[in-house]
Amino acid sequence: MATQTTDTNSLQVGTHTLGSRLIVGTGKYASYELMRDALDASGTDCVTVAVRRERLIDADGNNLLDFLDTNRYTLLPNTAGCFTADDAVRTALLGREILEGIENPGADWVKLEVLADKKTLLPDPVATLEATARLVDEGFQVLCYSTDDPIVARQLKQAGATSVMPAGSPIGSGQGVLNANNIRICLEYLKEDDPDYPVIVDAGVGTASDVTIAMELGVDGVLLNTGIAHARDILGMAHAMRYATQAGRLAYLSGRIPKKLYATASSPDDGLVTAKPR
Amino acid sequence: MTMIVVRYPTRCNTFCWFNRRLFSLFFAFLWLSTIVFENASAILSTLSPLGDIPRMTAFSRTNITSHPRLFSVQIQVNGQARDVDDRATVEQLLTDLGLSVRHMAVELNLKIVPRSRHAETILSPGDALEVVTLVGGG
Repeated sequence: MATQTTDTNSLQVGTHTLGSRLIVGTGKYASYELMRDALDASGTDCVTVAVRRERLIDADGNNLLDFLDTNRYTLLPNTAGCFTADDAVRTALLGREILEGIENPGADWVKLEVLADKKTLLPDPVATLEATARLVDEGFQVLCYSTDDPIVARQLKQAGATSVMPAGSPIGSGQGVLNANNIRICLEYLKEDDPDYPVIVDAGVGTASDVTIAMELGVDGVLLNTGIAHARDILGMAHAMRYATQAGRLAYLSGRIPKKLYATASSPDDGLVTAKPR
Repeated sequence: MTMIVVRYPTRCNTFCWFNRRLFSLFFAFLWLSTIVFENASAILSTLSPLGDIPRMTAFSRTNITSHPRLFSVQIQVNGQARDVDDRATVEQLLTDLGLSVRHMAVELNLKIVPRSRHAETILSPGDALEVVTLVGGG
């Protein structure tokens, strides 16, 4: 069981081997100190970061990197907030430049996000496809944020994506996995003839059970941010998400029982001291 | 302007006059060219299809002249106009802004300037510079 548990927690994405199947975002925390403690509690060793203009005036002097142990965490830079393929590629290149400077292994990959709409933050599938191909040409391992559309997922893989990351529900919405069947079909299509192809549910999970449900579907990992960062007890939720990921993976590997309409008794019929109804 | 008077031991008047003019013109041209070259190279580099090749030749510009800076140039840093000394480098700008290069990436006119080239990359009028860092994100 011990060896299986070790296997359960290890996630291979491209050339990166992660010690946890949970990838955690670094945004929306009330303070950098709280973020640092939450990441520690979550058990993750991979965190997403965003690329933004340096504040030239009013800079408080604190930098995210002062609170992230870059020897411990593989950073996964995102292109969040980009609405065109051009901007996403540009942002990815800037992220790589920073990560190369701090010699973090995350310099060769990117979480690609090309959005289409500010209200839903849903991705633009056409621009995401274009950006994927361009970033692959630039030598990136591309992890694509996508909707749960199995056709788009398949096209992203064909375009060279290292991982496809369908959203459970809109970013930050906390609605969990809204369309489990679409995730199932994504898994079937993406893992056809390629069972080790990593599929990660990115976005929308609100609590531990959402994470477990996603993992039980057979996805390889979950990426979340708001579910921890906006919980009432951040560290408590970080722990919960950690164990939910492990529980879901173990349950998936162990095989759930089929659902039946009627009951089957767990205690034996034989030896009853009472009369049984007919 | 100081007059340069040169005496020529020659017998031909016409030749002498011509030669003297030519000589002072030559000096005037030299003086002008040092100024023109400084700014022309910056302007040309923005027009050149080769883009950043002329601008990278930092040492050729610094070697030619040693007189004090005559101009400041206006550039855009993260979308805001900013005046920097003529011949200021990316490295000098980051120092002036008080930014630690460890956490930065710099993009000049949509092209990344690798950290190793910050010191040799000279800013030209109209340059659009982006200085970015990492922040929390999901």
